[in-house]
Amino acid sequence: MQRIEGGWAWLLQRMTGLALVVILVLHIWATHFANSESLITFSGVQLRLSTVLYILVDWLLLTLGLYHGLNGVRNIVLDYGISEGRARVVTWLLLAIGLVALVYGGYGLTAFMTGRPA
Amino acid sequence: MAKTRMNWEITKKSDVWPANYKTGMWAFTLHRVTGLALVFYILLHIIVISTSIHGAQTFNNVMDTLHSPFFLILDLGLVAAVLYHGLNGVRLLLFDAGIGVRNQAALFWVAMAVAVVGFIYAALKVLPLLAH
Repeated sequence: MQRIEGGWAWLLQRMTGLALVVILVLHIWATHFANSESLITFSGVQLRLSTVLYILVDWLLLTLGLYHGLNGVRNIVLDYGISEGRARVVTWLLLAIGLVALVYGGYGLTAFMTGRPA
Repeated sequence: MAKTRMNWEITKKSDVWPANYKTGMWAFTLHRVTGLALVFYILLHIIVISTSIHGAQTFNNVMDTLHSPFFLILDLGLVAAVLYHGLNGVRLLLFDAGIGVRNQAALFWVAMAVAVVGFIYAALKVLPLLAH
């Protein structure tokens, strides 16, 4: 197998990008174009998130989107050239932001799925 | 072997010298700009959608605000950014696979044509909602 330059981050950026093209189109179509109701409501989202497909789509969107975006920011920072030590700090910072966003977003999604009372 | 370092110097040979700043460079720059915008958007989106944890009423109140014409226009901006970044991204994936690198500028315009079609489709959906 040929050696992949730049490692997994390079490959995952492409793979998540490709996956996101499909998943994002599905997500936008499902939220805005699939039903007759044009406007978003709690119950509307809850209904959509009662099917496995859309639960999967939204969770994948959350994880892959955060990875692709934050790794993208990392790429931009690295492109401008910083020391190895600072690059490590940037990577951990972005990782931390990603994890916080993932947990918080996860809470938001499960609120629809468990129907937390008003 | 693909170029790995940008030439940022202000000389006639550099990548950012105006005469050299052609289609491919614009594609690259806009890809980064839309990418950054989308990162800000996704973080904002997570915060907004997660108002669901405060219950249905709160969530619906937030949604009512976001259905105002101002935000609907911003949504169209979002669609434009997503279409640009995604379709140019597909173009980049083709290049990574070694396909079409010699025709990179032409492929950019093909991607933009598809983006325009997608944008019109979205605009047609949003326009009726603006009549508030």
